[in-house]
Formats: sequence, C-alpha cells, structure tokens
Amino acid sequence: MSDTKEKPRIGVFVCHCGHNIAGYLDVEKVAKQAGELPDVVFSVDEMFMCSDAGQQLIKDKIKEHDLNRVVVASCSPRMHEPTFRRAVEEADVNRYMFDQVNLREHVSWCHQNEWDKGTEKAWDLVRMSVARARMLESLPIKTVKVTPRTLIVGGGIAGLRAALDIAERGFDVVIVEKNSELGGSVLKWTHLFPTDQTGTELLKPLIRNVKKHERITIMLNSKVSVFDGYIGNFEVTVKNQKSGAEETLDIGTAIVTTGFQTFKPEGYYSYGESPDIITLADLQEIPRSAGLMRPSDGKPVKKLVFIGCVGSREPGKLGHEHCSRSCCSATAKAASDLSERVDEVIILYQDIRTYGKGHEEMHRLARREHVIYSKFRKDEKPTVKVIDGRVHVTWHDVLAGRDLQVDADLLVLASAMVPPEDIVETSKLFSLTRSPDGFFNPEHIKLAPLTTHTAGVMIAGASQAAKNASESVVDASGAAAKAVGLMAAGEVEIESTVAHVVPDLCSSCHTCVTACPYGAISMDNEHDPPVAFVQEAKCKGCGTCSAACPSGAILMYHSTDDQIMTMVEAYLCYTPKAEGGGTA
Amino acid sequence: MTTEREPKSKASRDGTGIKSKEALVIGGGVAGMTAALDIANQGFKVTLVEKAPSIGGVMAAIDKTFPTLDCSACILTPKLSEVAHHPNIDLLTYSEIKSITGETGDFRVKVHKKARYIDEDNCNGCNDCVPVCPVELPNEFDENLGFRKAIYAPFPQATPHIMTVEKKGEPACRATCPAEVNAQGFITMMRHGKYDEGLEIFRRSNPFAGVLGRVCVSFCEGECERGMLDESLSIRNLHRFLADYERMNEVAPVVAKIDKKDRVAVIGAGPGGISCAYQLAHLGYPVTIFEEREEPGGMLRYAIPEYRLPREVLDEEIQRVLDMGVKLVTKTKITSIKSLQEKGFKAVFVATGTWQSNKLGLKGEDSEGVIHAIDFLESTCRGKEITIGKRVAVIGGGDAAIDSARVAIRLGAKDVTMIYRRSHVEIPAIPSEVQDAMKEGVKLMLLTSPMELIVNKGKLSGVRCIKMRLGEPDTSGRRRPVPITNSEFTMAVDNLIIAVGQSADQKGVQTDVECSKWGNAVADPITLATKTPGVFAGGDIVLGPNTVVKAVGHGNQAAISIDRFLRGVDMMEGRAKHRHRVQSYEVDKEGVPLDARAAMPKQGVDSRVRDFDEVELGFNEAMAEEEAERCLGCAVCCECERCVTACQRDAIDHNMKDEVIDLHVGALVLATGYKLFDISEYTQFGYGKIPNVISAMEFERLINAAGPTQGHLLRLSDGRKPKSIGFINCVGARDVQKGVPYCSRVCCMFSIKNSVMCKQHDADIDVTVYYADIRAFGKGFEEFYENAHTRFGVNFVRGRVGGVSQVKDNGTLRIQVENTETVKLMEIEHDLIVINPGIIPPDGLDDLAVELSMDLSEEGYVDVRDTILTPVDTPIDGVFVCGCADGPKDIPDSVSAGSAAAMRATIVLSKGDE
Repeated sequence: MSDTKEKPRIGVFVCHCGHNIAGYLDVEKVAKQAGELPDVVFSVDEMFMCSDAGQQLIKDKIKEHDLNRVVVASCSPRMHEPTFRRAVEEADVNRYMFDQVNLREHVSWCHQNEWDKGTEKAWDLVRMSVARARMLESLPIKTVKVTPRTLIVGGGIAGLRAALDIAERGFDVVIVEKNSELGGSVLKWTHLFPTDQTGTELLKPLIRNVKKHERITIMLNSKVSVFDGYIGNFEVTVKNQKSGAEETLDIGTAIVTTGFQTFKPEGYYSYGESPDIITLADLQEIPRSAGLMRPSDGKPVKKLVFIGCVGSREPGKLGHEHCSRSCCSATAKAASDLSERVDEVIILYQDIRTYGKGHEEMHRLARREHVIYSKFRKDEKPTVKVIDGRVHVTWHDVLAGRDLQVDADLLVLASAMVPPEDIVETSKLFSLTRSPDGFFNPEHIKLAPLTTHTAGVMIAGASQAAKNASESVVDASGAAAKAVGLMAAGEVEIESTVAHVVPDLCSSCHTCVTACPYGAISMDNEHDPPVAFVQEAKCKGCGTCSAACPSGAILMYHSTDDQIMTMVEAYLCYTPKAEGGGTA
Repeated sequence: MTTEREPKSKASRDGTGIKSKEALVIGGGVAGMTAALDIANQGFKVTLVEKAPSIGGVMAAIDKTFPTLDCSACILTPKLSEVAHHPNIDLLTYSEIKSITGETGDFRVKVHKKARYIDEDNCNGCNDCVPVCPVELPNEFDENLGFRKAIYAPFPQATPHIMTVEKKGEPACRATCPAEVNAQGFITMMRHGKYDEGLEIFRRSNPFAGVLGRVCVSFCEGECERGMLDESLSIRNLHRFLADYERMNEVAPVVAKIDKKDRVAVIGAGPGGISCAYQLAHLGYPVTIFEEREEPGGMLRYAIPEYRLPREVLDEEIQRVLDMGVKLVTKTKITSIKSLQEKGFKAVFVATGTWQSNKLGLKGEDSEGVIHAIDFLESTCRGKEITIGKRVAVIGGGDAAIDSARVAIRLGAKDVTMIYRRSHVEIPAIPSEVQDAMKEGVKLMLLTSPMELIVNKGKLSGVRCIKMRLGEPDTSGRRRPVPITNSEFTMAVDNLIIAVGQSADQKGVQTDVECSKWGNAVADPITLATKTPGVFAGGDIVLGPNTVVKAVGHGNQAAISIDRFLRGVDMMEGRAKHRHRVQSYEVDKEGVPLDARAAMPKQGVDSRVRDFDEVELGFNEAMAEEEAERCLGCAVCCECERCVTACQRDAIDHNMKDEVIDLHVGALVLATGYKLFDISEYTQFGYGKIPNVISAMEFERLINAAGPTQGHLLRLSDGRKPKSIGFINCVGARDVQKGVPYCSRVCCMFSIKNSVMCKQHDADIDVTVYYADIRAFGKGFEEFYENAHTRFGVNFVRGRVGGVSQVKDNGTLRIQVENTETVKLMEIEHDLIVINPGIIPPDGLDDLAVELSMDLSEEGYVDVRDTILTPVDTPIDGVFVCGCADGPKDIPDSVSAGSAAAMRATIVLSKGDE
C-alpha cells in the first residue's frame, strides 16, 4: 500500500467532550505528554472535537503541520469515526490513516471517581494509539455498483406497499410470496382498526395496482432458496414450491417483509379442548355477514369473552416476553363490532394498550357499547375449564377485588404475534440477527429501525417486531426509501478494512470458510492449488477467519499483526525516550 | 392567504405538473432529519427548515433513550453532522414558513429567515463571545433550569455549529430617544456593576451623561415597558449615576485621535453643536466650534439654573469633547457661512438655537417689571444682580416657565404664580420639575390666559386674565384653550415673567441657507442637509425651541451625514428607521415581582429655596444597582457589542436584517413535531407552585451530563439528593375533560426509563411510578418494563394521583392516590415528584394548515389520507407528514415515518423526469 515509506507525522487531538471526559481525567496532561511521543508533531486538547470547530481544527492542523496520520482521543468510534474520517479526508489524508481512542466510554464514564488512574489509563490508550498510527497504512476507497432492482420477500401489506412505492419511483421490483395469493395476514381479517373495511376490501386496490404495474414481477408459491452476493450485487435463486422450478435473479437490494404468525396457544386456557375456544385471528376470519354462532353447536353466541395477552408479556419465556402491540386495539374493535350481536361482551385484560391514533377512541367506544372490561393480575391469570362442553371462566377482578366467573359461549384468546415458523431459515438466508422476541434485529433500534447489519437488506413491518397494519405500511415505505437511496446512487462505498488471504500461505484447509459468519469466504478453485478467497463486499472485517487460520495466511487490513503488536508493546514497555514508544 | 393561491389549472395544463424536483422538509427534529436525508440520498435537493437555531428537535434535549439507554445526544450527533454536511441538503435554521402557494410538483414557498446577527459563514462556534455577554436568561433548552446568554448556541453539538443572538428588535427606551441612547445596554452593564462600560455605551451616542442625567425630558421613561407592570425605570437618574460615579472615581482618559484632513465647522456650542463635534471627532475629523458667547454650552449654560445643573458637570463634559481634539472659538459671531467655507471648512453644521423670547403681543410688554424668561434666566446664570418683587407671575408652562418660577422663589419672591392656559395634563415641563416647583411654593393657575397688562406710570402693577376651557384639539394634537366669557379677573403683581417660547433670530447666520417664515433653517428631516451643499443644520434652529436631547440627536445625525458627505457616500442610504420596535406583548413580564421606582433623594425644601445648590442629590450605588435590576431587558440582546469586540472572526453583525427566501419545490414534508401539555393546568399537582414538583423534560435536563447540574440528580430547591421520587403518568393524556382524549404513547416508557435512570444514579433511591395502564408496546419495551421492576426495583402503583401537597419545612411532598389493584387509599411521601406531560400538537401547525388549506383533526394533528394504506400522505397532494405532526410517536416510529414520507415525496419528484 502507498505512502508507508513516508515518515509518520502524527497529530493528536484530545477531546474534553464538555464535562464528559475533562471532568474525570486530566486531558491537558494527556495531550501534553502525547506531544512528546515519537513522530507526534502536534498535540492539543479541545472542547468538542466532533463539533464543526473541532473538525476544522483537524483540517487546519493537517495543512499547517503537514500531518499524515491523525489520532483523536474522544468517544467511541461507533459514534464519530465516520465524522473524523471525513474530516481527515477533506484535508487529503487517507481515511485509514486515522485512529480513534475511546476515552469516554472506556475511561471517563467507567472511572468517574479515579482522576489519577483514569488519567493514567487515558495516557496508556493514547500512547498505544499513537504507536499504531505509526504503523497505519492507507487503503483504497472501493465502491461497487448497485443493480437497480429490489427483491421483496413476502407479499403481505408491507411487501405490497414497498413494491408499489419502488415501482412508482421508477425501479424494478420482484415480489416473492410463499403463498398462492398476495395480501398476507391482513387479507383475512374482518375487524380491522381503525377502519370499518375488511382486509379484503382494503387490500383490493393495492393488490390491483401491484399486479398491473409493469415494473413489478410477482412470484407466487415461491421462496428464496439461495441468497448470495453482497450489497448492490445479490444473486438470488427463487424456487417455486409447487413446480420446483428455480429461477436466478440479479438484484441490488432486498426488503424482508416476512411478517408474523399467530401463536397457537396450546396449553393456555384449555385451548383445543373445546371448539368454542378460538384465537383472535380465528375470530377475525369469521365473515361479518354471518351470525356469530358457537362452533360447537351452531347456536347463537350470547356471552362473548376475550382474554388478552395470551402468549405475550411472559417474563422468562423466550419468544413470549414481548407485548404483541396490536391485540388490545384489535380486541376493542372486534368487541364493539360484535357487541350488538351478543348479550354480553367481557374483556379480561392486564393493561389496556390502545396507544395509537384513534385507538383510545375505539376503547372508549367499546365501553360505550357496554363491553365489560375486567382487569386481572399478571400473576393471577384467569382459569378456563371445559365442563360438559361448557367453557367456564373464573378470574379475580383486580379493580372490584372480587372473584368472578362466567360461562362463555365463545372464548376468544388474543394470542401473541410470533415470528413465522421459517424465520430461522430466513434469518440464515439473509444473515439477519434476531432479538429475543424472535423477530429480526434492526441495525439500530432507535435511529435505524429499517436497515439491518447485512448491508443492502432492509426489514419492514412485522418481520421486525409485532406491529399493526398501518405501522407496517409506514415501515414499508421507509424501507423502500432506503432501497431506492442505494439504487438511485447507483454505487456504494464498501469498507476496505477486510480480510485478505495470502495465497502462498494458504493450506486450503477450509477452516476460514466455515468460520466466517457472513459467508464471505469461498475457495478459489481456479487457483492451483485452490486457496481461500475473500469476497470483500461481504466481509465485515471481524477477524474471525484470521484468528482461526492455522497457517497465519489471513491478513486483516487496518488491524495487521504488526499494528496490534506495536500497541501491546507500547502499553507494556513504555520508555519515554525510546523510539516507537516501545522496545524497538 | 388563500387569496394568494395561484389558479389550480396552471400546473395541470403543463403535462406532468411536476415543475420542481426539489423538496422542502418543515421541522428539523429526528423525523424531519431522516426525511431530508432519505430524499437527499436519492439525489434530490432538499431544504430543511427549522425554527430553532439548531436542528435536533426534542431528541437533542433528552438524556437517554428507551429501551437501550443509549445516550440521546451521542446517537443523534452523527445524524446532525450528516445533515449538515450533505451536499443535497440546504439547512435553514432560525427560519419559519411564511407562505405556501401552488400545488403538488409546483409549490412556491416563502421562508422567513430570522436575523441571527451572526455571519453563518464566518462563525465557527468558538464560544469566545459567550462569556463577555452580560445578558443572562433562562435556557429553554435546559427547560429554563439553567441560564444562557443572549448570544448562544443552544447545546454543545448544535447544528449548524454557530451562535445566535436573541434580539427582539429595538427596545422602547432606545426607539423613543432622539439621541438613540442605548438605555438597555448601559443599564445591563449597571446590573453587573460595570459602570465604566455602561458609561462607555451611553457615550457612544451622547456626550452628556451627567448633563442629560439632570435635565433630560426622558421620553424613554414615558415608553418604558416596566411602566406597564408597575412604574417605569428611572433611566435618566441611572445615567446620571454613571456620570457621578465616574466623577467620584477615576475618570476615563480621553485620547484625541484626529486623523482625517477635512475640516468641519460647527456654529453654536450648544448641545447640538457639541454633539456633532463629538461624533465627528470620534471619526477623526478636525472640528472647530464657533460660539458667540463667552463660554460653550448654549442654553445649558445660559438658561438652565444651577440648582438643576451644576456648572462643573457641564464644564467637565464639554471639556471631554474638547479633549478629543475639538477646537472651540468663543466670543465669535459667525455672520457668513460662505466665509467659513472659503476658509477651508469642507462642511458646516449650523446649530445656533433660538434665543429670541416670544412676545405675548399685549400692550405694555416693554414696561418696567415685565421680564422675558430667557433674559431673566441668562442674567441669573451670569450671576447678575437682579431685583425682583414679592409677587411674581410667570406666563407659560414649559421648562423655561418652571425654571423662571423656581429662580424667582430663590431670588426672594414670596408669591410666585404660574399662569398656563391649558390644564395640568398639557404642561410640557418635566413632571418632576413641576412637582418640585409646587413643593417650593409655586402656585399653578391653570386654564388661565393673560389679556391685558396693567401699567401704572410705566411700571407694571397687575395682570388681567381670563379663564379658559379646553375645546377641540388643534394641529399640535393638544386641546385648544377657549376663553370663557365673563370670567375675566385681575391680579396684582410686581413682576411678570413671560415664558411663552423662543424664536430664531431672523437675522441670524442661518439665513444664508433656505429658511422658513419664522426664520428656522430648512433641513432634510433625516440627513439634516440644507439646500446648500455641505451645509447642515440642526437643533432648535431647525425645530424651533425643543429639548436638549433632540438637539443631541440632531448633532449625531448631522455628524453621520457630514462624514458621508465628505466621503462622497449616499447620505440617505439605510437611514430611514425601520427597526422593529419591541412590542409590549413580546416582553415576558410573568412572574416579575412588583417593585416601586427608586425615589431621587433631594435637598429639603426649606434649605434649597435659599440658594442655587443642586436640588437632586443623585442615587448612591446601592440604589442605582437596585433600580437597574428592575430593567426588563425588553430586546434581550442589549447591543453592548462586547461580543463584537470578543469575536476574532468578524462574525457578529448587529445590523443584520430578517430575510425572506423564496423556494420552489415539488413536494413538502411536514415534520413539525409536538409540544408538551401545560401540566400547570392540573392544579391538584401544584406544578409551578410547589417546589420539587417538576416536569419530565426538566428531569431529563437534571440528569443530563450537559445539563444545569452536570448530571447530578439534585433537588433544585435545596440541592439535596432526593431519597424518594414519584413519577405521575397520563397527565394531559387520555383525559377527555382536558381536551386530550388520546394516549400520548411515549410517556409510559419515558417514565420507566427515567425511573431506571434514578436507580442507576443511586440504587438506594426509592422510585415509584403511578400509572393507569403501562403501555410498553414497542420492540423491547415490555422487556425493559419487566427489568425496571424486577432488576432495578422500581415500584409501580396503578392509580390516578389525586393530589400533591407539601409537607411543612423540609420540602417533602405527599401524594394521595388510590391503588386500584389493592383498592386502598394511600398517602405516600416523596422528595421529588416528576410529572409526565402528554403530547399535544405544536404551536404554528394550525397556521401551516391554513396555508395549505388543509383541515386538521379534532385534536389539532395532521390527518392522513388513509390510516392503513397511505399513512404518511396528507389529504393535500404532494404534502406528506412524519413524526409527531400527525400524532404522538416514539423515536423509531418517527424515524420510520420520516423515511416513509421521504419515499412518498420522491415518487412525486421523480415524475419530473418524464
């Protein structure tokens, strides 16, 4: 790599972060000492390095002192590495010639009452970083092209919205749906909130528009069987479940809208012991026009009872700890819709979570329709017994402080939204991680809810967490924006901090191929003998392969053994005058 | 605004109707930022308009976010930076939408960009200006718990990273002062005990701090906003104190710095002439003042009695002007302006004043015993021996009349009567002077006019008067006095002093330029230029007899004109007054305790009528500081300009003006956010009344490392660490009676997060959350809630709190609540109560809706076209919504909606291709 021969000229910038760092350690001292390290030609402490003023300072000093390496001692690189990389780049220094020391999370925040020790640790870290900076090498900035076509996995309401938005924006879309029709869960529902339409009525125009759009290709009864490649350049194999035919497509981005399934509450409230105990999803599928009849004997339902939080909000039970978000409002809607057709509606609940726009109003409407809400305690759930075919419900009403009971003609269990059965398969296919609720993890729970750690793959709707239809559609348009952003740009930068196999050292043992969590390493069979080969766009630079390689054949760019060892030396063997800050 | 709307057909006639491929995002919170980025990343230009000085919205003020307890500022800063540096995003902060016309694909938007008085390109946010700013005000970013300066960046990571000067305009005091004295400026300095700097501010526009501190009519005090609250500030006496203080202490040295060539002549060494010379000398011009009399000062010296204006004060202040390099030539009457010009004076300022006493026009005015006020006062001032009878009548109601009457008392007159033809309301003299005169024994005979002077053997013996009543207003706006028939009466007097105004000398030097029929010079009202090039005129010679401060004002303006004239620059440019005067409603007077105006200590009446010693004794330092503290600081920034001196990048411009920016955009995204319900409406919780009952946002700032306590959880009332904290939920949410029937969606998690933060700060704190339902519905929320009570030990009590009361002495609070799960009434004591306010629509959203002809929902939020299918499309084509503008949302939901709105907007923009 280039300019390694050039003598290092390092600038060190120590950030106060207001009170965050400077309040707990002696930043001035650290900056002053750093100034005496070999090859350091400039060192300073500054209030906020991330501020525009701080960034400008870096650029000015690079010019003034002809710096070719920059160390900023501030916060976590997760936060501001991009900021500072951009700053050095604007001053014509390669972004990989920058190194960041995390004085905040690693020192000041965890050693708030240890001024001297904190200062010493900060000094250690800065010294190590400077040592590493001396060894840094500039790396090329690589970009890859983005194929202007998006794959949408799942043709439910989220997938449909995303597909139509992208197509209308002017890009090609492929929808892969495992079922024989589009529409997903929403299609079957009769009590949608807050609208009075049924799912079929609601989705009709959307499905029609998707079907007739020339940019949208629909593949029904199909599943993605192979998902290969990297951001902008995925190679996807779609398999028709019925015919077994396979088709391979080139796509640039993907949106996973695989939705959820309704939890089958086996073992809860005598579910399965009587046909009169159904789930909310089952209820949703009963056509509106039909009278509400007891499944067991076809007689009209007089007493309708709902129980909330079935399979949701259960601490300690993996996959069932989360709140399913939509059931409170859905229950309220269904209860008020049906209240005129039955004598009595009772909703047994833990908390009423009608949080959304218009939801609280639905809850109030239900109460106005004389729906009885009765709260049970979390640790004292209702009991349901089926005696002589009758569904007998007993519970303790918290607010009245009394034990109550009722014989329900129909018991509806508002069961949880859980990930679809094939989510494990999907997560492996797209290298997506999952959170404890079983759904996919977003890239950042707050600020990047639609992107994932697999660059180029977005998630939307209930594939990310339990959600209602409206929220899923918002996600869908949002994820579409992310996909279009990549396609509209046409190309995307990829990290150069990747693994590299030195072919001469590779013993073709395949250890790295199995070790790589991202499927980035394959064997280059054209090489004789075959050696491991890293697909750089897929590599995350995690270093697993490098550590696993028994031959030491894998080099991690930007974290080379030399760069790591010099840090260790700088830490252990510091002698102020010695060249390199180490033993050298 | 609908009238401005362009005809609908216009866009539709043109094929696609998409004429602009740019977008506008209104609101720079996290939703708006996300929308802007997602539009910009697709290659479209975006303008992001934010009304605050920085983008970031509420999220920037939050300490940690739920459910991961990420530092809010830390995760937000990279986004702020990304927005600021994105080549496709144009950031307009401190700006608001003025008007929107047009339709989808073709919106015309006017944006009002408020002057921030900072050059956005030059400022680098270095903060050098902040410590020197003397104006402190509550920091709204810290929920008013801490303080900020008038020049500020709201938070350290503010984006753009530049300062903003909060300045509402020109305060009433300065706007009404003819000399434009920056009263708020010097008074602000006095609040900090910086008297020298206060005096320096005064002297920027007026050399007579001490003189006018005694004799100014003080228009400023008449308009002072404090007068709307209790009594106006004693502004005049405050600058008198500054002058007195300097005399008592070290006098700032005067450095003459005359570095220009063009010589200027000033005719007349009165207040106008001296002020003009003063300002010109400041600019470096060599000025010569020509004065007919023996000494400079004009009416100040030869008309105002010494008990009002000790001559050493006058002498010293004039000397300061002379020390600046101004030449004074006395006993020299200029008879020709041309001769001066011929002597090489490049410009001349005529300020000769009006020295001719007006006559009553009655027979016998020349008799012995009849005196004209100006002659009378001048003789007194010159120390001439004057004999005056026992009974003296003074005709007139101006300052000269009052001065004459009070001088007559001091000369031994026993019975002094002022005869004025209108009522006490119209008396032009300074009210305090009238009061003092009456205390000294002067009688006021109002609504009376002299008809005839009764002369016996050439000597005045009496005056015949007639009673008047007030009729219709005359041209001056004052009600015209009308004689009442048969009300004549006679009063015996020994002397009559006539003080009915003065006129210009009809043969004076001003007649070299164009004059009115009364002999007043005619000059442009703004530049004071006469028709003769290079000759300017001001003060009484132009205005007729008027106040000292007007003369000073004219001197200042003439100096500006002369400088521009000599430099050959347009004299008129930018001179017309267009600065916004701070209006009464703009000044926050809430919670300011009433406090009377400081009374001026005076010499006792008995002793003061015996001689000409100064009557008013002046404020002492304590009084001055206390009085200065009453200033409301109407304009916020006091324009002391210390920031200008401190700034090394020349980035501060106090003359910056608001701008209107025209935008042409194809799509709009509304991301206007929300505001919090005013929880003081729930009087039972005592917010705003009981100390230690705080709002959740205040709590956020209290635990924030960059907040007022640097993150230490303390009670602000006494600085103690709270041992027990209660959080009250659903305040201003789910409450039909308060007009907020809906759920605010974030407060449950907000309070759980804050309760966990309490525990993280100190695990021994007892924390209880009072709730109706816990709505932990989002990803990871329920798990976080579970952790809060199992792992962190937060108590959750289901029940609406009935009331909060204060337990005596130690500030402990007691709440009454029914625990609905145990059906028990409870009384629980806490050290601190945190109320979680509900979310309501932001201010100004209704105005924006009117601009767009868009109906809002009953609750005041933006409605969407179809809740399920198009949840970010508003009913107006091309207008999209995200974040809390269409209802409460948490951060991830707002962010998703931001991206969604961006997607929908870019579909519109992309049609521009076709």
